[in-house]
Formats: sequence, C-alpha cells, structure tokens
Amino acid sequence: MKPLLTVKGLVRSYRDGKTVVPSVKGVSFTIGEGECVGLVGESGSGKSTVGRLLLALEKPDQGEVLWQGEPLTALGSRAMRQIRRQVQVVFQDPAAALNDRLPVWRSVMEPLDNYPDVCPFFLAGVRQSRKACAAKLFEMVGLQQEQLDRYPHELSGGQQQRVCLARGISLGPKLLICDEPTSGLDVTVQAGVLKLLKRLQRELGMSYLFISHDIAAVMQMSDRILVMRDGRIVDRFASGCMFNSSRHAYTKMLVMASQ
Amino acid sequence: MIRICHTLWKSAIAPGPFVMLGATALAFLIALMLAAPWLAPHDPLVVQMADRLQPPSLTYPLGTDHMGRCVLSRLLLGMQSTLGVALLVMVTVALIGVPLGMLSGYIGGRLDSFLMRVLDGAGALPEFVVAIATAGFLGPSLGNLLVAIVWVKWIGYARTARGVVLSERKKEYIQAAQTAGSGTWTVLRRHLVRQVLSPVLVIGALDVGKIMLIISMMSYLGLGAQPPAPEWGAMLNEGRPYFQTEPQLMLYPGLAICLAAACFNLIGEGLRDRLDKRGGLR
Repeated sequence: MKPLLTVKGLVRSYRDGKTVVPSVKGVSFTIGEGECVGLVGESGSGKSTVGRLLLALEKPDQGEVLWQGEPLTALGSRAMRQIRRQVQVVFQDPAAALNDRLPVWRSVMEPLDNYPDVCPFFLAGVRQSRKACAAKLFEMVGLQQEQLDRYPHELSGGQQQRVCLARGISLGPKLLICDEPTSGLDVTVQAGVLKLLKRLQRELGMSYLFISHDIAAVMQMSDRILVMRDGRIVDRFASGCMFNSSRHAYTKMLVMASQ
Repeated sequence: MIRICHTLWKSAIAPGPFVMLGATALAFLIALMLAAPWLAPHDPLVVQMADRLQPPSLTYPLGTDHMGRCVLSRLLLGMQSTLGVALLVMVTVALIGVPLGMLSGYIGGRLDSFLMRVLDGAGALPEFVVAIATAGFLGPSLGNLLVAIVWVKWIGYARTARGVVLSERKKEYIQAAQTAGSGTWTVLRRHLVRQVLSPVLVIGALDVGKIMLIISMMSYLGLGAQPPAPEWGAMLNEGRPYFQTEPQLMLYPGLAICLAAACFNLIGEGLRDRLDKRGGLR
C-alpha cells in the first residue's frame, strides 16, 4: 500500500504558566490510501493533538508530516492550500463545530465556497448550484432536504454530526480525520454514524484516521490500530490481532476495561 | 448585507410588543425627520419679532419662541441635528470600533497589546468629561461635537467586539473553518461578524439614546449646535429664561428628547432580552 501520509517523530508540547507540558513525545506512523487507521488512548494521551498537527492547525516542535512524500513544513501557502483540501476533519462536539448563527447548509458549503474550482465526482452536475450541492451532500449523509435551512440548535446531536460529516466529505478529501466523532452521541446514534462513516469510506475511497478512546468503535472501523499512552505509541497491530497474547499490557487493559 | 438585514428583521419581529412599539415609533420619527423640510410650516430660522412668544394658533401650531420663530418647524428640523447626528455617530463609531476590535481579538499578539493599551488610556477618563474637553478644544460646532463623541464612544465597541471574538475563536467551528480553507478575512466575515453583531446591536440601540442626550446636553451647554440652528438641546437652553411665563418652550423639546430616547431604550432592552438567550437568534 502506498503511504498517503507519513508522520515522523512528531513532538509537541504546551506551555502552562512556567512549566512545559509535553503532549506528543515522538510519534511516527503511516496511513495508506483507502486505509482506516485507528488511534486509541485515554483522554490526555495526546491523540487529539496528533489530529491537529496533521490538519496543520498547529505546528510540531519537532518531527515532520509528509503528505505523499512531501513535508508540509516546507510548503508555501499555495501548495499548502491544495493539500489542505485533501485532509478534512470531523470533530468531537458537533454543536461546537458548527456556527450557531449560520443555517447548516451554509456550514456544509463552506469548504466548497472556499475552493470554487474543486468538483468531486459525486457532485458532478450539481456543482454550479450551491443549494443543490448541499442537498446532494445531505442526501449522502442521510439527512432530509427540509433540514437544509435549519440552525444547528434545531437539530439533534446525531443530525449535527451528520452535518459535520457532510462538510468533511464535501471536497472529496483523500484523508478524513475523525476526532472522537461518536463520543458525544447516544449509543444507538453512535452505531448509525459509524455505519455511515464505513459506507462513505467505501463509496468515496477515503482514508481515515479514526481517533477515539472507545476501543470497540475503533476495532469496528479500523484496519490497523495504534495505541497511544502519554504521548507515545505503545502498541500497533492489525485490528484482527486485538486479542493476541503478544499485545502490550496497556492494550490488554483497555480491552479488558471495555468489556 | 441582505442576509444581515434578514437576521436583524427576524430578531426584531419576535421579541414582543415593546421592541415593536419602539421600532414603530422610531420609524415614524425617522419618517418625520426625512420629510421635515416639506412638513415644516415655516422657515425655522426666520425671525418675526412682532410675533414673539405667541400661543399655539393655526399659523403657528405650537406657538413661537422668544424670537418669533415657529416652534413646530424648529422641532421638526432640529430632529436632523439631534436624531440624525446621533444615528450618524452611532454608525461611524460601530464602523471604526467593531472592525478594529475584531481584528485585534482575532490576530492577537502585538497588535492586540497595542490596541488594548490605547483603549485603556482612552477609557481611563470619564466619557462625558473627555467629550466636553475635546469639543471645547476643537471649538463649539456640531461637527466637532460629532468628532468628540466618536472619540469617546468607539472604545466600548472595540472592546465588545474583541471580547466576543476572543471567546469565539477558540471554538471548534473556527478550526473547522480553517481546515475548510477559510483565511483570516473569510473567518472574520463569514463567522465572526454574525457573532459580534448581536451584542453590538444591543449596546448600539441603547447608546443612540445616550448619544442623543449627549448632543442635546452639549448643545445646552453651548458646545454643540450653534444658534440660530435648531437643535432640541439648544432649544431647551434658549427657552430657559422664559420658563416662568412660557414653560412650553422647554416642554416641547424636552418631550421630543424623552420620546426619541425612549424609543431606542425600548428597542435596546427588548433586543437584549431576546439575544441573551444563546442561540435564540434566528
């Protein structure tokens, strides 16, 4: 499998008053094309920071992120912009990830509005009309047309997350970073969103970095799993090998805790 | 722009009778102000010493003042200096303060520290004192008064806008916007303007009333509109010597000031009650 994204020795720390708190302490991995990589760990293990570093919302203190072999740090703003549209995100809290003063279809159209010349294959034929694009995206994530003009607070958590997902896939990205996409949702709603994520991945041929503390959800979604603890990856394995005896003690503990 | 108007309209229509009452009365006043040159029965500046201090009559519906000028005409045309200038000041202040505050809050760093020091310095003295000093320094005229009020008022708007942006920019939807390829300007324009708009609207509506009062007060003190120009505060001042015998000369402009200020307060208070409910604005 050709690596889409390679991460080498990523280090990132935060300043809390006078002390420096390391969040990510040297993380390396790759994500192949069409692959779903799960990143598990408890809260505070640095997994969300990894997500933000990949999205270039933050700069790493050390290490680099390579997109199809090219380091992100070395890129000019124009090239960066072209890569940015290939890497999209779905955040944990859909209510916070949508502007409460915008009707949801405008949030969904934001990426396409910023890249007027991008037209992913599933929007062929409707790209010239913003409303039709939004309607098509709504249909893809299982939302009703009547909900286009709603405001976020008029939708349920699951529906809001579907809106975020519609925004995430709208540019036809190669990599979607899902940062705890189901953690804020009810169990039944979670199952629906996970199924939708799986289907979209198959239909659109995207890669996922699926970040979660829920090892069961990660196992259901991922081809490969990375286990993170205190800013380091302590274990990595194909998802079928979850219950092997050679697993790291911490992985076993997570598995035990989830049962 | 149309979308913003739409938002404003929707937010104004629901909040109940008081805002509607205030808005209707204000719309009426503004219509009067615009139509004043045609509605006024006389030239407000023409002195008729023979007709001074006349009681209301068919020729002079509200009587005449100490120089024989038509009080109704002066009230109508004075609205432009009082209400019109207050609205103008308001818009200028918002156009200066809000963008500066938003930019400062969003970009942060040195620009922000610099602007905050400027605001701290400018805000350290009481508004009214600074306004009097500035207007006195620039010389008494309505234009200079306008500059003086803008100078003391923009601070509050910059601060409010900055505060809103500071609290909003940490939220995930801003990160989502950045991931979606929105640059600084797009984020400010598409996301943050709407967030800043509602608090600014509320203090704005309450402030226009206050600004109107400041204009009237300053004119009363002789620092604003200069005679013979009609202005409500100045009219109050001119009527003062005759208060014992002709109280209506102070009553009419006083009532007009109260009425207009009440309109803005009704709108402002109503909008505040409505917009305080988070996410309630549609």
